[in-house]
Amino acid sequence: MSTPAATAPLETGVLQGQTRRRITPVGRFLRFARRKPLGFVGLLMVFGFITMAVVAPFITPFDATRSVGRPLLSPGTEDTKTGKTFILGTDATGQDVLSRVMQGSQISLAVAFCVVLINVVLGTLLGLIAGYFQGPVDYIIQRSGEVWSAFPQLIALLLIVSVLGTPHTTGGNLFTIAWDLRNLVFAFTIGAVFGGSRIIRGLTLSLKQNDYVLAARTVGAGDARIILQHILPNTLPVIIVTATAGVGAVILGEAALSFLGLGVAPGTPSWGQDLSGRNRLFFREAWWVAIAPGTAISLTVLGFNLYGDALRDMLDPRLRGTGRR
Amino acid sequence: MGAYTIRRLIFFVPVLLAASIVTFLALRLVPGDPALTFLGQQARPDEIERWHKDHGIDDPLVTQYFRWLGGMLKGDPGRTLAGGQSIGSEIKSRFPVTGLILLFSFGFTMFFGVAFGLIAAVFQDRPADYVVRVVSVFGQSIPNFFTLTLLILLPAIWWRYAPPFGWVPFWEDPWRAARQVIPPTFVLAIGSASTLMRITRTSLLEVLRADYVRTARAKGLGERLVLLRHALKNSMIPVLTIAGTLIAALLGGSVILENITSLPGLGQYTFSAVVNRDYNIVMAMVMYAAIVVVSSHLIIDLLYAVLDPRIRYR
Repeated sequence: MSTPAATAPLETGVLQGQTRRRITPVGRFLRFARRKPLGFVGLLMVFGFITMAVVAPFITPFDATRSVGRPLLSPGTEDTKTGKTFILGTDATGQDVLSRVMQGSQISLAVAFCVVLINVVLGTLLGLIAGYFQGPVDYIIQRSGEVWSAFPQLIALLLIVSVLGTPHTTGGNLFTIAWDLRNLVFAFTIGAVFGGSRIIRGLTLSLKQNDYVLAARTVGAGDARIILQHILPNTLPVIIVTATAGVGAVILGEAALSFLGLGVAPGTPSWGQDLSGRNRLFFREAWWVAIAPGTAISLTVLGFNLYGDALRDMLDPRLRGTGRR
Repeated sequence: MGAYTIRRLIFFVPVLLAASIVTFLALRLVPGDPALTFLGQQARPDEIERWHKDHGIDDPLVTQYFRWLGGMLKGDPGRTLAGGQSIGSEIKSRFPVTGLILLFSFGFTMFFGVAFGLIAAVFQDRPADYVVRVVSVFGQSIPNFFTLTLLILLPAIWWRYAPPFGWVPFWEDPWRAARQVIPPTFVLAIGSASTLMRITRTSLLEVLRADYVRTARAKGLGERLVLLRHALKNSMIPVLTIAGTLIAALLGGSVILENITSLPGLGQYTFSAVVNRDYNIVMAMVMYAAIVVVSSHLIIDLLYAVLDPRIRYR
């Protein structure tokens, strides 16, 4: 899961065209940790989040979707009947908060990774085509992006989900969850593809001017070969950086939508959902029901942001000033 | 610049038309009959037919669209599907709430974003810089619905104090209305101010290395004048660009803010319309959002020229 992102900073030397010293992967890893301590902390948080999402179904102490104790037990309380301890307490329906938070990571991960994967592929493709061929294709892609950006993201998402319907998921592994939530994935994808394509387009426009492109054309390379062999590899650092930042943004967006009750179906363990609905009525007496999922979202997104910033610094200094959406 | 503004205003037309057509088609292609939503699943066929006729849904799509468009051109967004109330008058009564929310949250965003960005850039790589940067990474990572929940939750836990939420119209009691809006908009602005602060910092750092800043210092200008007149003003272009995208984000944020604090604004209206699938309201709200976003982009483009006289629009 983490391979594209995790190996990324280590290839810096190659991508910047420096002379290549032979260092072991472990050595590169340690160098990253030394140079970018905050980014390294972020990487660990990202890694922890992914691990949790993958193994959540096997290690949750209780069934996350069933009432397993008295409602609104405070953290660390022992259930007198079963003798089991609820480390983070229970919510309004007596479900174990810790289990729900652990299980909730699955939805965030499944949606975010699918969206980012599709965005990277489609956005890069559109951006390469628009930037390389320019002309009418470019015009159409650019203008569609502008019309789309006239909608505020959240309102566009609300609209799409209301049209396609609120998705249900019964859990299972990450792939079945992602498939169950395809409406949600689709909703996020439309919005983000154009944003990603714009960055790649701009980059392609300037990469196209390089002498090596001219050289390749002189020796008879076709458009497809020039794009794939000569331009695409040079856009990789930017793709990696925007993708990492994108994961955090999608996690936030999915949580916001679920918070409003339009993300996943009620009852599904999801961080955004657990902060809303019936739980809200009890937050004053049972703060832990709100703090636990809220902290989980914040830490996860923080991890992606810290790691993304470090990646940006190492891979693409030019991007530093442009910020992210 | 006048001609440019007019041309940009004309460009509004295709953008808004495209947005309205896409939304219109998307809403009509939804599976399921809206009549069943509002009449109940057990509605008789003749009831359904009458409901369709009443709301003009049995006409061809093109006719429906142009009827809607004709209404919009006269400034009438139509009536709700649910009870047939006028959407226009509802918007009129709700707009001040959202307007105030946008004004305050954008004001806080600009003020704190630029102020802290300036501090971070001036004290680059010193403690103040690190503090501002770390806080801003946190600010960007914590979702606004969580911070807004905490805003209500924490005072309740610590001091058993519940902020009095309940809207009073602004002109009746401006002070009370502002008191309603300031705490949540401040919290809403945390995320966007964090983004803006980072842009301000990087942009300002770049400008501070420019030759004309060194010239300004060399000729003996005071540091404050150098910073505010020469550096800050020139670093504002990328800041404005991002500020434009933040307006759209704050518009989405207002939906969440109004949902949590139950302030009766347009965000709440949009949300309930989407949930109830009241498509006439949804159409009106999409247009409202599109107009706000497109015109804020225009204003920002015009501000570029104010900040940097080299930028001329013809």
